[in-house]
Amino acid sequence: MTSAPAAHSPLAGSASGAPPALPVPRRAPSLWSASARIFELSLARMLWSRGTIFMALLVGLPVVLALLVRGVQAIGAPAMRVEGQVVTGPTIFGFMVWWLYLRFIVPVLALYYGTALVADEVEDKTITYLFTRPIARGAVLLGKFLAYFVCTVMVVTPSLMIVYFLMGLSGATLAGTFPSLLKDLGLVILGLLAYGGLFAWVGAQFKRPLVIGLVFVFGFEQLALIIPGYMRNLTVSYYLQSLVPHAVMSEGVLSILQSLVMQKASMATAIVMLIGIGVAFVFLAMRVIARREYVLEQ
Amino acid sequence: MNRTSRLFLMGSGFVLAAGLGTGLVAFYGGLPTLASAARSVGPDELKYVPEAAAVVAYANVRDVMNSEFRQKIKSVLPDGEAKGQEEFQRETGINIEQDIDYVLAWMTPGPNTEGKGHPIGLVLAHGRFDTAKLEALAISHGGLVETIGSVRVIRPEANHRPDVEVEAPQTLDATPTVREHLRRHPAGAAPMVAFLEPGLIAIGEEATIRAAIAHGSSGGRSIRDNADMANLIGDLEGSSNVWAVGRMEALTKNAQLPEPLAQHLPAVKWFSASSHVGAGVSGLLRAEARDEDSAKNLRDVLQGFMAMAKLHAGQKPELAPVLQSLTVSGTGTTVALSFEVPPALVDALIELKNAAN
Repeated sequence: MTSAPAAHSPLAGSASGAPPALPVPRRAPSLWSASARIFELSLARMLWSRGTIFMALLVGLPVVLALLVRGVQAIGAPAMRVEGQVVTGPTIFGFMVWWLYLRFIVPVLALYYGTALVADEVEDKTITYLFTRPIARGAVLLGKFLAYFVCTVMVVTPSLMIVYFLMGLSGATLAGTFPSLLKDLGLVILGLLAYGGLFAWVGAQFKRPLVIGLVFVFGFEQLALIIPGYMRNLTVSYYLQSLVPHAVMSEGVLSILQSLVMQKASMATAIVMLIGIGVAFVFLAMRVIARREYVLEQ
Repeated sequence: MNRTSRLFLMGSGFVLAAGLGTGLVAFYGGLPTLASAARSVGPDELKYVPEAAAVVAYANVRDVMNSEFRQKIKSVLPDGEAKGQEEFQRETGINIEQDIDYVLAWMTPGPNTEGKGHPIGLVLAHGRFDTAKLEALAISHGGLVETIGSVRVIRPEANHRPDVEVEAPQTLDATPTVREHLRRHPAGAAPMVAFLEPGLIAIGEEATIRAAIAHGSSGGRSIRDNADMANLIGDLEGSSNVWAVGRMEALTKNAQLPEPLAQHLPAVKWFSASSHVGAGVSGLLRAEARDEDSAKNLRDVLQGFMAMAKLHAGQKPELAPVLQSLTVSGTGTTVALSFEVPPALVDALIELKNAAN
């Protein structure tokens, strides 16, 4: 045991008169360990970057709204009514989950951070430093994507939890609504995964990823959801909508119109598709970054 | 990763873990009525309503009496009603328009296993009552004034006492259920009035009154401990001045309903009906079905009824706005039917009535 290191020592050869042995080259880290290093580096940068205020504003908005609603309730103002129907705390919470979190905050955060994974490095001309490291290029994207995912999940889900405790309990018991909270948390996580993967690929593939992403989220997806046919299958929103546990749309004529065009994917299909979209697009983005030559503008 | 990032992640993780932990404990029975504990739903008098009550109804009499709608209706009502009210006030000292704040009532089906037969219940009225005058009135009509515990009660007449002798609870700490009392005191018990608290009277059968007195003193479990009912009441509180909530089967067992509707009602677990009487009147009937299919079927049946009603609206064009305001909505297991009588329509109807006179 003790003689083994001596045999590999560079001095071992000279002592015996043989030419000195070359140092054993260090093996490049595996994809996962390289990704873990990039993840660690990127996480702190993402949490405390110029986007932090933007992210805080986004996730703080529902909390502020929930506080306002609670404040109005506390001073004894009459309950909000829509077409004679009382809008209760859990109803407002369901509305906020769908319209604020899943239709706005999740896509916007994914768009902002997902497209920036590669684009920011190109723009800041720092991608060269990453590419010159002895790691697979794909690991750079994978590590950054994992950092995005952990960062956004750890910011959005606590916000949702706070809003739930502020809003969800004003008319329903905690025990009764807890399963739907778990579904909401799961949906937010799946949404961040699917949208994040998609926009990571958009950011790696296209030159103006932010514009393309905005058009996709606020143009294509909105339109595709109300067009009868198979177009909706090409959206992330369709699969998220299929899993939403709350009654998000229920009023009068709008409800009838939407029920005519509204279709739902089965729960299993929706979950598989959301995970599949996330994983597939991250894989595609890794392939793109591994093969593409990024020209840095001077 | 730097220290600030680690602290941030730990903070986020703590919020998540605390929320999930609280939820899990509640879900597995530890905090079943956290919401109820955090905020007592409904009027205080709900403490006199037993946990097993099938239907609970509330009317804010003062709100309704002072409403613009009521004032308009009053202007076209015949004088007979006003005279009746005056006579009632002369006899009892109670001005219905001003002295009663609100009325709370509960009901539950009969005590036998099928829930058939004699339903039981209690009416609680909160307001300003001249106890001495009411007692004197009762005595002058042959009634009796007694005391149960520390509560004064009025029996209508000595010879109207129930056939079965009523036993007072052994101690007021005991909390006999209404069902227990009714097992001992079958149907036919005479109604009585109890002055439960200053400004609160209860009207009901002796057994239920005694149960309410015992229940009020012991502070036992009430309808607020029934999470489903507490949720329904909490949802309506503050938004309507007249409401009723309950289990649908309690209503439908003995009811004669149209066949298509009766077929679908067994699928309904809970219902709530609420109305807000202000300048106009708006109302909402909400039902919670057992499953999504049942809810969809019920929505279809209601849509059919509405279509028929709207078809007949041509014969009474003045009611068209009300029929147009009828909306069937709801998703999942919820079915809701709402309507609205706008103030302008009330004015139009009053004008029509005046013109007809």
